Amino acid sequence: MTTPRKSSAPAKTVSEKQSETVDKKNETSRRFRLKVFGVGGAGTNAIRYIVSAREAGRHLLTGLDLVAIHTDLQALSTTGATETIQIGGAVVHGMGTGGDIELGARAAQLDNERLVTAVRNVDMAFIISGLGGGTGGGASPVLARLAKHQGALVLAFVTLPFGFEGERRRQQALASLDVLKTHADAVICIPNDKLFKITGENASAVEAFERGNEALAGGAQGVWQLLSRRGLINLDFADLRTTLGTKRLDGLFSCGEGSGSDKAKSAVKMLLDNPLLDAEALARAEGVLVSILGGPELTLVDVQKTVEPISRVASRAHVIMGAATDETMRDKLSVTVIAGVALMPHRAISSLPHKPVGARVRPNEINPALSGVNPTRSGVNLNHSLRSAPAPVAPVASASSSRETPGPASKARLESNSSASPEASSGQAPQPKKQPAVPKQETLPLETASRGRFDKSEPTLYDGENLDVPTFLRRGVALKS
Amino acid sequence: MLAKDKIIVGLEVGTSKVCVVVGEVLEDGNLMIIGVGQAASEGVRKGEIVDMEAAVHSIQSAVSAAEDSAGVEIHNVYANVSGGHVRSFNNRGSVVVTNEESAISVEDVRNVMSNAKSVSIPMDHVVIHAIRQHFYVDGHDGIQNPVGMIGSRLEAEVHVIHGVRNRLMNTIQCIKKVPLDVANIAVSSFASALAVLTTEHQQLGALVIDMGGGTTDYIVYREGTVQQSGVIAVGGDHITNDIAIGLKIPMNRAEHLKLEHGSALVPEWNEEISMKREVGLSDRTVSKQQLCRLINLRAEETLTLIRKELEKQKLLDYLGAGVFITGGCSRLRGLEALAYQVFGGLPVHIGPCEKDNGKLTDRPAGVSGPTAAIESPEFSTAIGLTRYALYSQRDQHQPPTVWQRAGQKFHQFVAKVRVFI
Repeated sequence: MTTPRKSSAPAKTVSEKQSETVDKKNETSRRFRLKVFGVGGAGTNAIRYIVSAREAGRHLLTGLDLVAIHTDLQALSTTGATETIQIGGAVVHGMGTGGDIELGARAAQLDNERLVTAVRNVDMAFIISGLGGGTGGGASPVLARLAKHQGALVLAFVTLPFGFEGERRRQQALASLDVLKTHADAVICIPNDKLFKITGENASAVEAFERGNEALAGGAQGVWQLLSRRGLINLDFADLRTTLGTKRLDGLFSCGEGSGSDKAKSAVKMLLDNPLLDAEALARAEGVLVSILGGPELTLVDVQKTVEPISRVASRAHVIMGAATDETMRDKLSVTVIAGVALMPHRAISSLPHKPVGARVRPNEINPALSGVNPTRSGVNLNHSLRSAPAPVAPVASASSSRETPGPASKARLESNSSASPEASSGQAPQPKKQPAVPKQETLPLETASRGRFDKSEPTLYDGENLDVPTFLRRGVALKS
Repeated sequence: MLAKDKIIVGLEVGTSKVCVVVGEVLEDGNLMIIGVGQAASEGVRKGEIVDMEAAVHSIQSAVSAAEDSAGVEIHNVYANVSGGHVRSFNNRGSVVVTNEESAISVEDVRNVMSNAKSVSIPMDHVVIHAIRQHFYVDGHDGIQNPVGMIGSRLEAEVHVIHGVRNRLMNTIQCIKKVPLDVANIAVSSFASALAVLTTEHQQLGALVIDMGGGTTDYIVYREGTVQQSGVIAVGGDHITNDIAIGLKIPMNRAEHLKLEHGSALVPEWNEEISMKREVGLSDRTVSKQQLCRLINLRAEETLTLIRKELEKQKLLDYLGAGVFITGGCSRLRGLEALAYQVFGGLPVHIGPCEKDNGKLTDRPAGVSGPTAAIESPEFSTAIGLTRYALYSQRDQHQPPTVWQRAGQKFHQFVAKVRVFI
């Protein structure tokens, strides 16, 4: 279990946190606690979906606490979640954020303490949200950070907006994803555009969103299932940490179900055909967790037939498998795969260079030069908690931001921003101390190096290298003229 | 018109060319090549068909050229398969000899072979070849033909080559659309080895690399049997593609540069190559060193991948006869020297056969015909297919005497292929 970052915590809370750490040590033997957080519009919808599925008699995340977090009071009131947290009442007054990520982030920071209470003593936090929106995109990274500080393993299932929602919203979501990745242990990201593939073109919008919710909830369910069921081959929390927790990896998720005599084969086929799964990425996976749930008559051959094709695809990965049985699964077999995928071996041309700051700024301010010359604004950002009104220039805050080297001004802002909330909430003046370096998770380049004539063909992978990419590009050989 | 079963046709559907070789079985059982045909290949990428109609058209033109050249009609062909999906491994099967005198019978051999072949391969794969290596009788190694020997346990080692069923079927389906019958299929590397290697080479140990347009197929013989094989889906097309991307020129210009000026070794002195003006393309010059650097990197990488695969099985030290490079890409200048470097000084042979004092001495026995066809490396696979056909047909009529190591597997294999055709 990671200890909370005490160095960043102000004096007052240090003792508190230490006592918590002790608590946690005492409690390591108990069963882990898992909470599902639905953040923002998409997140609360997913929670609502889970609740209605439960009411319809399906066993979806049975026994788990569902927490809905939103700025919009109206949306929040109808979720049926175990716990609802309305955030940002002071800034948005119970309305939505109108797609403003900065507003969403500020709302979360304002209600920092309530969120901390919600994530306290949680071993694992699922965060479900849609990153396109203001609350989802803004509050999820904050929640992830808080949960991480409390020592939870943070797993985020997020969606990216549809392509037709426009470039700006996409950029906003990607920037938010960047930030989320630095805080969460693993982020499983489902671009909404893939929903087309799942539902087909003619599906109604309601159905498409339903399937989106299903995919999100199914992901959480898959993880929960593999952790909670006692089985033939047990999987536990430690296995999940081995797969996802040790390195900063891209998360990949897929599931499949089959029945009848050929259930293993059809389940694997469904799993591998799942549009959410990227076979090329699976081949690069470092760790793969395969969880099988079958009826009481599940045979070892079924298990072998299921795991073998998967481990064959993910040939480089450390495969951990688990199998469990359930009375309700008569003659059925469901398989869930969670993979931690290493980022591309060669950091090829990333079309989205470091733009994480976009998460916290208005998109028109993404230009670092602009934001750099505007310390007042960052002051406002830092100053959220105690002074609820967006105060004028806060000297303390601007001092804290100006202590940073001028470097990439945008980055400085991000860091001061993330360190700000505990400081501000404790009512202490922020001290100019070093924030522990937050490793920055790289994004996969959206456009990989050119494969020219082989663009449309199946990539030729060898030890994780795509041989279709010209050798001189992969080796970085300069062609001097 | 010649009798139908006397004519054997090898059809190689390659990434850049479709080659057809028509052979006639002579009285003495050997094969004479009586006609060849080739056509530029369309609709094939990396050894696999991506555009059925275009590929059918290419095959049709190659086949009709071969028909004209040989003066026969072609109905039935032996075809090659290749592609990145083809995999292989060695496997061992065993049976307990049950009869009273403990003499191993033909039946036992058949059982052990089918035992060795029943291996777990991915669900969507089928076995293309199960090539017998050798037998063990009561753990005693190196037995070539165990029939009649006394023993209680018989084991067989086989080299199993398998590929994705649907993708193999695509090739067969395409040839059927021509329309032609497919008598059997063989992987390109195995066919090329049959064309290139003599029995002595196989005994000494040899590596055959068939560098084609879209794939590089390799196979390793040691002590007369296949020890390892594989396909790397990288070929001449990749070199051209690298040049096109590296020098920022169109594919057809890159191809032309590769053929005219390319070399696998980077020359000491640079020179500027000026490209001829074509309609719509501007005149420009490129540096020869740059061009050759691009080719060198790719060719070296491909050969190194093969060397690494061999190192994994520790086979490099057993290649007494050396490395044989064939296929269209073997015409690349400097490849011989590069391969010599990569394989640490092993003898490297380019093309299908060795010339000794201008005389063709160790051409594989049993094939004769127009020298031009037999000598050009592009035809290796197609010629190999005719040999493969010859052996498998012989095998159906009489016990395996001539080609012990290719042996009995063929008719079992034919049955297997028939099942899925």
